[in-house]
Amino acid sequence: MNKEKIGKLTVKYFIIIAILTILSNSIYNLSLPKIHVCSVESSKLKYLVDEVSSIEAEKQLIISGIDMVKIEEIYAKPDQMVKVGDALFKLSSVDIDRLISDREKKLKVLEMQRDVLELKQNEGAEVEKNEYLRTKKNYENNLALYNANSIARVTLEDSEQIYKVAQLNYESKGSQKVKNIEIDILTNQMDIEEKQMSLDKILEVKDNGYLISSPINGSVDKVLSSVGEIAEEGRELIRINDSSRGYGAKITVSSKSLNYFSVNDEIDVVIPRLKDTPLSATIVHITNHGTTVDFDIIIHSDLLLVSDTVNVKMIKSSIKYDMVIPKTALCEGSKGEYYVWRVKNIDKALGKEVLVEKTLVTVIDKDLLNAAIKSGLNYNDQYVLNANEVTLENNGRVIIE
Amino acid sequence: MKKIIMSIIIGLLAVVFILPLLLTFFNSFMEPGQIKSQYETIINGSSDGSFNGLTLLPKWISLKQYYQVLFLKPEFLKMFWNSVVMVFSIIVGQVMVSSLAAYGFSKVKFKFRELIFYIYILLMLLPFQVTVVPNYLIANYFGLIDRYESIIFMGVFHVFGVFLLRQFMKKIPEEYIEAAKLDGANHFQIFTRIILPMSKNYIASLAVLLLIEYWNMVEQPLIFLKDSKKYPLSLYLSQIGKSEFTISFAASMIYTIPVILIYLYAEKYFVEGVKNSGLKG
Repeated sequence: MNKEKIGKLTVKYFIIIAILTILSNSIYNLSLPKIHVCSVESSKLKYLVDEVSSIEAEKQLIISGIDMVKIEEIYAKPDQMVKVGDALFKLSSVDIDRLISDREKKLKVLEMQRDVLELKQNEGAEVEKNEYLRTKKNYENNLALYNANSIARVTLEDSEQIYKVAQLNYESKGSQKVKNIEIDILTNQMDIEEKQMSLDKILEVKDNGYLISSPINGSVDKVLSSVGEIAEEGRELIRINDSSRGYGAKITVSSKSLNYFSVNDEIDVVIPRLKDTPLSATIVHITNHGTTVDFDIIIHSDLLLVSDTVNVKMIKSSIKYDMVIPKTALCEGSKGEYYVWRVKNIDKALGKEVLVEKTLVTVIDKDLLNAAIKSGLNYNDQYVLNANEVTLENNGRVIIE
Repeated sequence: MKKIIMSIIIGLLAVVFILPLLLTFFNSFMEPGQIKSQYETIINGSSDGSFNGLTLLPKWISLKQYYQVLFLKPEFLKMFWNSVVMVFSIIVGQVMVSSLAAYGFSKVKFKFRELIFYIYILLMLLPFQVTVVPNYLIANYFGLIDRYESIIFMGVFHVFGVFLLRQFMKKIPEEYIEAAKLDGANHFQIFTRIILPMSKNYIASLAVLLLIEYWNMVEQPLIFLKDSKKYPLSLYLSQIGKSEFTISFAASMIYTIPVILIYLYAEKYFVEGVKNSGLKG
């Protein structure tokens, strides 16, 4: 190799080293994984429940038919919000008037029967009573005469016998007779009241313009009749969900939630249809099934419909853990073990280098964003925050961003 | 026959001397993992005594070591240039100072010239460890500690160059000087137009010897420099230690290449310089 070639080679060597020196920082930054670091801190975990459930009315009101009345119009529809006084049905005015007349007549008959019974009650056991009093007086007279030796003992004993029979008659049969009359009067009274109530109901409908209105605030669950049908007495016409008693829902979550929630806790809920309206609910009952738990909740709102679904969001804080790290820093190995990448600053011959070390940790508890750990890391150790986004090697070099 | 035996012996000795370089060269193409398994027991001083022996050839040829040194260690390249700056400055400075001093000691007549020169030589005989303390105190006095100048000035005013160049300048015939004086030349003109051109080869020899000496300096930067960012490459390699031995071979090769290239380029001057100095580089 001649001098000229060696000279050129030397120059090229230095040029290459110079270029690499100029580009070295950029190449170095490109080739090493970039990490974000964080220090271990003590903190609380937030337990979050985010579940969706259907809802049911806690109480339903069933409106039944009055009597043989035709339904002329139906104003109510399923899932319709109703308030007190809102019209639900229009009934036939002819049928209503006819019913009123019929009821009034029946009522009158009952009242007349009542009068008769009262008379009888007044009479009561008069005959037996009179007979008893008469025989008693007779006996007393005879007793006085006997004492005055005016009559024989036999006569006195006869009158006494008659008196006692009359007394017995009065006390047994007489009282029974009175009781029977009293029972009849009571029965009659009940019939009158019933008929009166029925009449009042029908009169109410008439006063309301022959309309059946909603007596409560709520929502229509089902309409069980149709126009033109005859609404017999006792037949279900419509079911209304009573919003004053609230709506219930049930969600099933992990049994871990028992550490955070208890009966009477207030929780936030969202109804998708009413997402701009904040609502809250109360936990009224908790059923523990071992690994899972059912929460029964009640939502108090006039705005709900049974077809709504409820999105239950419950957030509670745990006890304070000594070491809490974000779940973005937590990695899971092939055998289910958890580890984090601990950051080490090492002094080397060319200066400080940042290395990462795979450190196994024991996870005590987790919420959606963080995990509480108890071994592997020390308090204030630094770890890689974005461990799941970069590829790292044990004791590999990294750049901290 | 004698020649053949001598040749064989010298050849074997040459192999022994070149073996470390060959080992470094071939091992620089080994995978870091293989390096670790080969030499970890030696580096970490393992007590179990397990040592697999030196392997010359790698199992797989890999450029991973070079990649790690050149691309993942920007500080290595900065240290390389630290070495270049310091050594180049020392070479230029010492050549200038030594050539002027050698001319003075060889061609300029003044009182106590020989006495001063012998005192000068005496300093050259003193080992570095003896002069380091006064040098440190002087550097500290002038505020040069932790600066390149503390090492450069020490190198520039070293005695060796003066000694080497004076030996040669003494051989230049006086007639050249007298003829120049007759023509009206002053000392500076004599030095620049007669002495320097005639001393070209020896100055080149001096430069090569200085390169080899100062490219490998370790003690001076270790004592006079505090900031590791100013360290030359020779210091890095001496401290590469247990943590980075997997890249030490590639680093050594990159470090050695400039010296090899410059030696090959200026071999003639190197041999000339060693012969005239009577000293080993």
